Amino acid sequence: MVTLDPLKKYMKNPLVIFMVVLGILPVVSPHHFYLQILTLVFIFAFFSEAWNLISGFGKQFSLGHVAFFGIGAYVTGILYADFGVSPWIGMVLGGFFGMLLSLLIGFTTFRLRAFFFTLSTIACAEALRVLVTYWRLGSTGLGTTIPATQGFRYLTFGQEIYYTYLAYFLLLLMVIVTVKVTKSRIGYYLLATGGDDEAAKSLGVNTFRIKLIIFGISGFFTAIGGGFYCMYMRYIEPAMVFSIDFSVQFAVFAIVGGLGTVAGPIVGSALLVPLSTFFRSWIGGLYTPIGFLTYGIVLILIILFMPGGLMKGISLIAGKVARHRKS
Amino acid sequence: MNMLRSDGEHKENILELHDVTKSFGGINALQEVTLNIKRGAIVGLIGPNGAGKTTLFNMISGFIPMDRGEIRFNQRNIGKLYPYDRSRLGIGRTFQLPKIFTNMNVLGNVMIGALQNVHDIKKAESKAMEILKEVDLESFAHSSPGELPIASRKKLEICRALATSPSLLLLDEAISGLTPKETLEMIDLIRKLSDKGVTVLIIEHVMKFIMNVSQWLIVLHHGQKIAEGKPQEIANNEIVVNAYLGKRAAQC
Repeated sequence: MVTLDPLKKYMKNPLVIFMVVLGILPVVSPHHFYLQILTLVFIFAFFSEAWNLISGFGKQFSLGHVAFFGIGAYVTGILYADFGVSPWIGMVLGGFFGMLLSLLIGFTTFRLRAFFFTLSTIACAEALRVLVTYWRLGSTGLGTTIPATQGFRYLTFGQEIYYTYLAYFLLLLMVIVTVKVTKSRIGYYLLATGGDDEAAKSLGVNTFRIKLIIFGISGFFTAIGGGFYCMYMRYIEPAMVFSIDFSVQFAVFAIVGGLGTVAGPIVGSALLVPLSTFFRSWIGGLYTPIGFLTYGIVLILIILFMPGGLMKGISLIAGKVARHRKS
Repeated sequence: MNMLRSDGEHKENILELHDVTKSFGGINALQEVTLNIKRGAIVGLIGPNGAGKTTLFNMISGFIPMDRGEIRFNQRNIGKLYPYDRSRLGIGRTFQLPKIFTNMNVLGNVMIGALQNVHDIKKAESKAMEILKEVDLESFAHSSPGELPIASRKKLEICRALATSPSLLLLDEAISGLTPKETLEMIDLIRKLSDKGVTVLIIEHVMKFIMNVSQWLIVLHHGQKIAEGKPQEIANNEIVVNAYLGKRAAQC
């Protein structure tokens, strides 16, 4: 007999409820502008989630993720613009290129410790940016404009809501992958590797291999997201898709939301993407610097008062409320 | 390599080190150390600070490569294997300063060890729980390891190593910082392990403890093995008394 018990179990999970609420938001959004913000929230939550897998759970702090993002954007964009290959195929191919690149970078840099690893990931991403800038990939100049032929096959839609939901489903996929990975044997080993590399080795964990596998998964999904971003923006250039700003944003959203938690990157993006848009576009013009300054102050305040991120802050408050109710 | 031993005696040894040498720059950390550890024994490794005890542990467990020499575990040359390979062969260890995974709970810590042999998460969880029960830590299973007192942290590190089902366990200063009562509990635990067939090699500075728990002692000084024997023999060994123990400790 089919019962609703498994469904009931899932509906008690705060993460599931959170994802359902996010899934409803595009339908109830009253304006195109809000849908655009939601698309950005979802896609940046997706990137931040992919980054969090290796850097949050595995504590391998990469600031070179923009290399995978950029390679995904370029593979998808060039294959579509120059060879007419469907962006759907381009995104998957871009994902594999991103994975290959991450394995290459990981293989050469995972022997480095802490900040040396971080610095080397930045160097790899910068080297790729310079390479793409001078190589001039494809038939176009420095930048590449993506043709705007509408249709599902071309991943080009007339209405924003399609992009919003596509970004949402990418995020949902990333959340499922993260949950599956972290609850598996490899996920436990990843946590152990992030906790203490030597102790993990002493328990039989091949930490190098674990880091490489997770970096590969992270690079794969980041590159897929890069492909989506390229099709959403309809224009790519090296200075844009290989900008280290992206890597920093992936990291900041996860740190503010809660490093090493599944919901953290989503919470961070849900707060900071609208906030940065607000400070950039609404407090714009002459007052732009004040907007950036205020955004920076908000970030500092969050880190200062909730050093474990918003998720830790939320769980602490929830714990206090529960204890208060009991007493 | 000729170990100058009969086959029977050779098989009795779980671990054999021959001419193991290591230097860091100009400092000779270990000089041609040769020793054998008998299967199932509790062996103490003693010596003053800087004698090379932890270096020796790191070389047996694969964290530091040798400059020269040979390490055989269960008759297999393991000198070039990685630490995780040595763990999979049955060498477990703890660290001088407990290296606990603070990003997961107590149960999760032990599960990491259990997952080496049990690939299913649920089964690893129940194996980890069983081990925690054996050392009375089950009530802390879902606590953060950061909340544990030092004695429990040391026990947790041992539990974690035990979860890998080791045949040789290296304990680096297992009782430093423990109260007398906790020390007695640790002695009980080590003896229980030995009864189950686990060979235990312990580094310790507390002479009363090491003399009480060990069946055999090996003494290192300036990276060289200066003596080995039964605890009472070592306590009366003039070279050891002069180099390390002093007269009062020898009377413990």
